[in-house]
Parts: sequence; structure tokens; C-alpha cells
Amino acid sequence: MIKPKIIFLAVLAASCLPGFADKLPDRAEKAVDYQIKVRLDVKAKQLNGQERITWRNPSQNSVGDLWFHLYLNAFKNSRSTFNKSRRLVSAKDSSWGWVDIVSMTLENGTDLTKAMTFEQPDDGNRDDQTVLRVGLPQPVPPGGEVTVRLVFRAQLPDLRVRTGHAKGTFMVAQWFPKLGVYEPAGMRGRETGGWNCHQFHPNSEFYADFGRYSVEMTVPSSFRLGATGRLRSKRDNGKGESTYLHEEDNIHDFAWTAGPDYVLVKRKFSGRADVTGQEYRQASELLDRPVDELLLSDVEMIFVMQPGHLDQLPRYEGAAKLALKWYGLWYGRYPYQTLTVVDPVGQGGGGMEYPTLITAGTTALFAYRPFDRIRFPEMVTVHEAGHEWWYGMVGNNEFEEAWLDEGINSYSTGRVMEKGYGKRGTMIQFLGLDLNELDTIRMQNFPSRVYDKSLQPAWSYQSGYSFYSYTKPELMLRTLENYLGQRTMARIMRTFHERWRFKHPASQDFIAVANEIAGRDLNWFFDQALKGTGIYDYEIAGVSTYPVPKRLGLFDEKGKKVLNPDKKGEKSPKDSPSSKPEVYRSDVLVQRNGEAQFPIDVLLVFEDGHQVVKHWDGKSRWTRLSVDYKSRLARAEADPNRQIELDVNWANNSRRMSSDSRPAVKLASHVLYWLQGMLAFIGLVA
Amino acid sequence: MHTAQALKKGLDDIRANKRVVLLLWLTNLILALALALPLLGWLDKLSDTSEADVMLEQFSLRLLVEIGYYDFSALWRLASRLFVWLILAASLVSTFMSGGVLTVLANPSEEPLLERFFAGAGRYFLRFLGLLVGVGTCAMVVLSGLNLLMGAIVAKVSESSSEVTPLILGLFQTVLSILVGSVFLLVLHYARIATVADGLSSIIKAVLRSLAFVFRNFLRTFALLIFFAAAGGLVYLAYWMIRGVLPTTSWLLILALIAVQQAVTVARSALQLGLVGAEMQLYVLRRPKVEKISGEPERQPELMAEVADPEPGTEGTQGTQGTEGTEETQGTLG
Repeated sequence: MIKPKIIFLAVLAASCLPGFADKLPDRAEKAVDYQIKVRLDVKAKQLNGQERITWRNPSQNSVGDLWFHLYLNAFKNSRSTFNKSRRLVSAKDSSWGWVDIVSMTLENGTDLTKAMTFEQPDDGNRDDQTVLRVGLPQPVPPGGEVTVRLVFRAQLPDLRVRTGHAKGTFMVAQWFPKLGVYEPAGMRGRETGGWNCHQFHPNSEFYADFGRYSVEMTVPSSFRLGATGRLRSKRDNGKGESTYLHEEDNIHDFAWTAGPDYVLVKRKFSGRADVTGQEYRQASELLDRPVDELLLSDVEMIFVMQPGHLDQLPRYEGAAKLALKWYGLWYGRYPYQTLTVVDPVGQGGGGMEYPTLITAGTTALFAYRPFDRIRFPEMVTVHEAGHEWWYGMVGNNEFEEAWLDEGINSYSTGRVMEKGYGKRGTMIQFLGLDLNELDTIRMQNFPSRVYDKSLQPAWSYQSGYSFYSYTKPELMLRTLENYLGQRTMARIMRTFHERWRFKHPASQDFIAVANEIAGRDLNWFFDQALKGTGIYDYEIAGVSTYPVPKRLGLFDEKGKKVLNPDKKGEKSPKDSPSSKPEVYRSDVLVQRNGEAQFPIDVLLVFEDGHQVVKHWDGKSRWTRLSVDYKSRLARAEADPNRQIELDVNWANNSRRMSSDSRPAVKLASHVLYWLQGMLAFIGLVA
Repeated sequence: MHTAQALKKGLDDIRANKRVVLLLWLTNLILALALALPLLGWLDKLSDTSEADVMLEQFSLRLLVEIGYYDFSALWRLASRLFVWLILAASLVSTFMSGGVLTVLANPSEEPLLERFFAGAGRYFLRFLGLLVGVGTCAMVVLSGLNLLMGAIVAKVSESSSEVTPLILGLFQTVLSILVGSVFLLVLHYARIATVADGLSSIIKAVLRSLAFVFRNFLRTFALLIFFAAAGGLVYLAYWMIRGVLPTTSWLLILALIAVQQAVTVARSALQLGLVGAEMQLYVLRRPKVEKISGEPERQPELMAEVADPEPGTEGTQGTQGTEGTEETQGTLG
């Protein structure tokens, strides 16, 4: 008899031969083609570049202009929308950055420079120059193409929001004139076609079309370089400079970094060696897909490391493999051949995503106990790598619906971190403090979070953008998973990814997939959790248990009037109505303190261990549940399985009949002890 | 040699003054309860929820945050105000108590302990308070300046150097701040001792004499401080070890935990008293002969064991500074 493992491996090997048998689209509908040549002037910290862009009109309209992001201009002065939002009042001269288009022509040489105007579609701030519109002499017909050539010069600022220079190292992101997205009528709910090209804001910066990028970067030969895509060639010019050519398809941005001190380390992620047969089978069962549909491809992982952090390479590597494995199994294989993980230099360089390149971040301190149990480097790596699926492949509009990448990715990050590092102390195990994913996100969910929604433009928040875009959607999706079950949720996520891989979805597209896969209307949930401002908070407001009163008086039984029927058959005084009853009535008052509604279970636990679960639709403001049972009630719990992770306060979800002061006294003793220690210190110094 | 003698004396003082140790502990406990009791009332919310059961096994920051959600601002206002008042009160009480401790250590007589203690505490309170304000202000000014300077250096270095250099500089800054802070602490301690031992009424003179003493006996004074700090560290370590193996799920075990915590606090009070005793002995053994300054009558030292303690409030009637003896005679003190 052939062992199942051998059969599995045979299927695995055979299925790899003809290619992957799955529903994943293998390429985007190419809208743009970028060919860029850029030279880094290290001394002036400037980029001098040439760009050839071809854009295809995807709509049924003729389009008479092109809209570009010029995001380095966000750092041009204190009046840019970016700097105004940050209330910048002073800065060093070296902190200004800008990008100038020296010339722009059509392929036939027609000059477009005079047709350029700065636009401010979001806030009308005339000082903001982060969006440029160029009128075309001839409109681009439906399905037609236009090619423009640009010469640009850019000044890199001191490193900030992952762009600029620090300590002689360059992080080059949002650096080249990049087209916005022309959205045809019907796309993302649009009624008419038009460009979607937002200004640069502190909290959001990504929305561009898929296409091919071919970028030549010339830097000093002493520099090491990491960049989006695959390295196609490297040549030295004999004058101390090297030119790297990187190319990639099906991406919508390009970033790179270069510096003299970087150390490049290459590692391989193997779809066979790094994923066990059992893990493939688990994913197969979870998603109800055959294993050969889930097979992962090999990826070259390139770690661009600071020399002082090389001892933390295993942490980055482990996290990157976790990400490639679980995101790949759950959502769809990583389609690119490289993943570059940058260990950034300087403050402000870490924790960002670009196609096939992410910046992580650590400090030398994290190599030593007890700091090595703070899993920040792992968490950032897993999170940013997750963006390759949610932002990179599923290219949502981050300006308008940031939750679609940040929220879904935070949910995914939490699940991968739990897979890799366990549910306890997932994020931090530091000096006796254990914090897992759920702890860290629930602690941000205050009852006062009622003034903004998750679904609103990223620049329009009163405060708490990160809560509404990252945390609340993560809690929402975890709640949905608890409600629908792990399998259904996994299939929703897989299907959504498959359908919108290399496309630009809207929130309604996610909701439609959820409704379809769950087989029920979930709009009531998304209307509240995603589009609403109400909080969730169910509370056991009161409990009581008492003997069921004996029936006293006249009752009609079998056509006769019977006096005090429960006293029938009593033979001794101890059986009188005042003696120990056989049945107790237990009442539980459940309240909904928040605006948001969710159906919940209420668990009643009796002194003899018996348990009763009552269901409540959770719609009214309160309900009183009553159970008659032979034993007294010991405690009651609302949502006993803690399904509603959005509930702002689980501490009020349960109530005992008799209080237990042990936890309070124990905690108070610690508080007392800490205070005494502080007073002893004062005693020493005062 | 003198350091060892001083150490021994400090440890002997702990044994000889157990009631003072208990007095220090009791004061510490009462002050801490002023804040802990209201907090206990608030924490009593945990008693009704089974969610709190997790606290018996393991501390849950999330739960603590959640129970504070609805009245967090009110709680925070109350706790922070109480905390500020507690620090102020503790500073005053501590200053008051240090006069009592020094008096008791300097005058081991048959008089009732509490009478001696509180008489000394009252007698020296204003002078000690002046010392605290003066030395504390100087310490704050110097430490602020030092940290501003070091902070600027660290910031400058951070821009161009590797990540490790600012870390090391930051560590150096911390160590330097602790060192400088400790010097001021020692100056305060020995100024108080000089006030009692030399009968000084002038705060400035006490500080100058203490400064001279600390710098002349730099290693010795630090050795005593480090010894008692290390002893405190060992007590703390023992507590952590006990706490690590002590499950606190039942009432009995929680009470045991409280007992251990209070034992640690008592030990800390004992070490505090031991440090004062050792420092006083070192001062007595190492102090220079002080020349009488014309125009200002020097107060009589009050710590001579052989000399009867004056009536409270009648200090400075027992002679002159010239009565200070040699090291041998001084070594019999206490």
C-alpha cells in the first residue's frame, strides 16, 4: 500500500509540471507602460530622470488630458496639503523636496509643457503641487494609446514618510511623475468616466494603474541597491557608477533604495520545502479547493540589511516566509519572482509597502533580551508583505477606501502572526507583559469612537485614521469570521482576492462577495460596522434568582376551582409554601449600550453546573431572560464565546450572583506594593 | 576600614532600632493606602464579572483598560491629583521622618523612643526642608542642563553615526545622570547628618560641609550607597522569584502574596535606616576638624552618646564645636 504522503507528493510534483491549475488571473489588463532612466546625484541628493509613459484608454470615452501624481512636491514648502495637515511650522533647509518636470512631449515631439497645470481636487489648496494635469492636443480615443516623454529633476528631502536620504543612504519612493487612474463609467460605482488622482496626504498615497515598469537606476558603484522587480542587468560605466535595470509586470508603483553600507542577502522561499503537506491539506480543506490549486511558487527573497542588524536577519526571514506561505495559501500564490525586504536606515524609513518591495524596521536593541520578545520586526514584515496581496495585487483606492487594504491586511496580519507565533504573547512578551493581537487592537476600541466611519476618505478624519482604517476593520472582520465560521470567512477572502487580483475593487465589491459566499444578506452588518458610527456594547445589567412562588388562591383545574393548588398533598409543615422550593426562577437583564446591533447568545450557568443558552436578536435596547430550574443561578454571560470582537467592553459581558473579590484584591495589592516602592524611593531622596 | 566599620554600624542600627523600622514601614503603608484604597474601590468592579478570573492566573492589561473605559477620565483625574498630592505629602513626611531617624540614631538613650523620634523630627523639619529645597533645586538645574547638553549631542551624533553610537551615548547619559543625581543625594544626606552631628543651624554651611565631605570621601560614600542599593536589589530579586512560583488563585495564596510584599517593604525600610546609620557613622569617623567661624556661634553636636541629650528645643547649649573628638572617640557613637 502506498503511503498517503507519497501520493500527496506525487500529486504535488505532477501538478507542478503543466503550470498552476487555479482560478487566479495571471496578469493585469495592462493600462500603462513605464520606461524610466534615472541617475542619482549623491552630492546634491537629486534625481535626474527621463521617462517614457504609454497609457491606454480603458473607457468608452475620448480622453483629452492626463493626470499625474507629483508627490515629491508634498515636501516642497510649508503650504503643501501634506505639510499643512502636519502643521509644519519650521524645518531645516535640507528637509525640502520637490520634483520639476523639465520637459514633456508627445512621442512625435509635440511640446506639452505649456499645457501643464497643477490641480487640487481634494481641498482646493492652490499652494499644493502634488497633482498635475496635462491637456492633450488630440483626445485619446476609446481603447487608444498615447505615449509621452518627460524629463524630470527631483530633490530628495531628509528622510520622511519613507522618502529621502539619511546618513548617506537613499530611500526613493513616490519619486517619479506617475499617472493617476482613469476610471471608466461603472467602475467603483462611478456614473461618468474620469481621472481619479488625489493630492498627497499624510495618511494615504496609493492609487495607480497596473502595467509594466522598466527602470534603469544609475548610482555610485560603491552603493548596494534594492528595488522593485527583478534585476535584469547591471553594468558599470567605468566612472565609478553602476546602472541597474529592474523590470516587473502587473505592478502599479516602483520604489528603490541605495546606500554604501547596505548588505544584500538572498534567501529562497520554496513552495515545496517551506510548506508541509499537512499545511497544504489544511488549506485545501479550509477553502474547499484541491491541493494543486493552492500550490505555491518559489520566490527569491532579497534582504537589504544594515550591517548592524544582520543578527536579526533570521527574524526578518522567518516572518517573510510566514507571509509568503500563509497569504499564498489563503488568498493566492505570490505571482512575482522576488520579494525585497529593506531594513531601512534612519527614522521614518520603515513600515511601508511598494510592489515586490517592502520596508520593515528594527533597532539594534531588539537583538537582546528582553527586547527580542517584542515582535515588532516580525509584525511589520508580515504586515507589509501582506500588502503585496492587499494593495499590491488587489489595487484598491487607498485615498477613498483605505480599509480595503489597511483593514483587510491588518486582519490578515493578525491571523498570520497567530499562526506563526501562537495566540498568547503574539505581539509582545516583555517583562511579564503578554500582549496578543486581540489585546492590542481591542485596547484601541474606545466607546468614544463614534465620530468617524471606516468608510470615508482617508484625509477627512477628525482623528484616529489608523483606528478606523486598520483596527476597526480588523475587529469587524474578526467578528464576521466568528459569526460566519472560519471556513466561510476563508472562502470569502479567497474569492474576493481571486476576483479582484490585478484590479481596482470598491467596498461594495467586498460586501457583494461576502453576501454571495455566506449565502445571506450581510448588509445589515456592514452598514453598521463599516458605514456606521455606532459602537457595540452588550452588558449583563442585572441577575437575580429566587424560588418560583407557589400558586396561591383559586385556580381552575379540570373544571374545578382549586385553592392553593401547589399545597396539595403537603403532609408536614416543612412542605409548606415557605419551605425549600423545587424550582428557582433566574432572571437576567441584558442591555445594549451601543447603537450597533448584533444577535447574541446569553449563557446562564447554574450552581449545579447546568448551563442554558438563550438567543437574543440584540435589536431592542434591553431584554429580560427568565429560566426556571431546580438550581440557583451562579452567573450569566452575554456573547459567551466572545464573537463580537467589536464589543468595546467585555468586562461588562458577565455577572456573577455572588461577587468574588480575589482579582480586585490581588490587583490592589500590587498597586499598593508599587506605591510603597515609589514612596520608599521618595524616602531615600527627600 | 572606616567604610567597613560604618557598614557594620548601619547593620547594627537596624537590629537595634526595629521599632523605628516598623515606624518607617507603617508611615509608608499609610501613605500608600491613601491612594490604594480608592483604587481598590474602583477595582471592585472586577468582583462582579467572571471575565476577571483571568487576572488570578495572569495580568490582563486589556481587561484593566476595558473596565476603565466609561469612567477613565474621571478616574484619571482623581488618581493623578491624588498622586501629585501623595508625592508632595510623601516628600514632607519623609523629610520629617528623617529628622526623627537621625535623632534616634544619634542619641540612643533610655528616653521613650517615640518621644525622641518625634522631638528630633520636629526640631529638624524646617532645616531639612530647606536643605531638600536647596539641594533639590540645584540638582534639577544641573541635571536639566546636563541632559539638554547630552540630548543635543546625542541628536547631533544620531544624524551621522551608526545606530549603536546614540544608544551607547544614551546609556552613558543615563549613567551620568544617575551618578550626578547620586552625588546630590549624598550631599543632601550628609548635610542632614552634619546638621545633626555638628549642630549646624545654617543650611548653606551644612551643604558646604557635606559637599566637602562627599568629595573627600567619594568612594566611601558611594560604596555605602551601592551596598544598600544592592541589598535592596537582592530583596527585590527574591520577591520576583517568590512571586514567580507563587500561584495566586485562592484567598490564602493572595494573603501570602500580600504578606511577602509587606515583608519586602519592611526590609526596604530596614535598609533605609541601615543606610542612614552607616552614613552617619562614616561621617563621624571621617569628618574633618571644623574650625570655628568667628561671628557665628556653632551649634553643639547632639549625637554624643556620652552626653545627655538636651531638652527638645534647647539645642546648642552643650558647648562648642571644639568638643569634636578624635576618630577613636567618635567611633563610639551610636
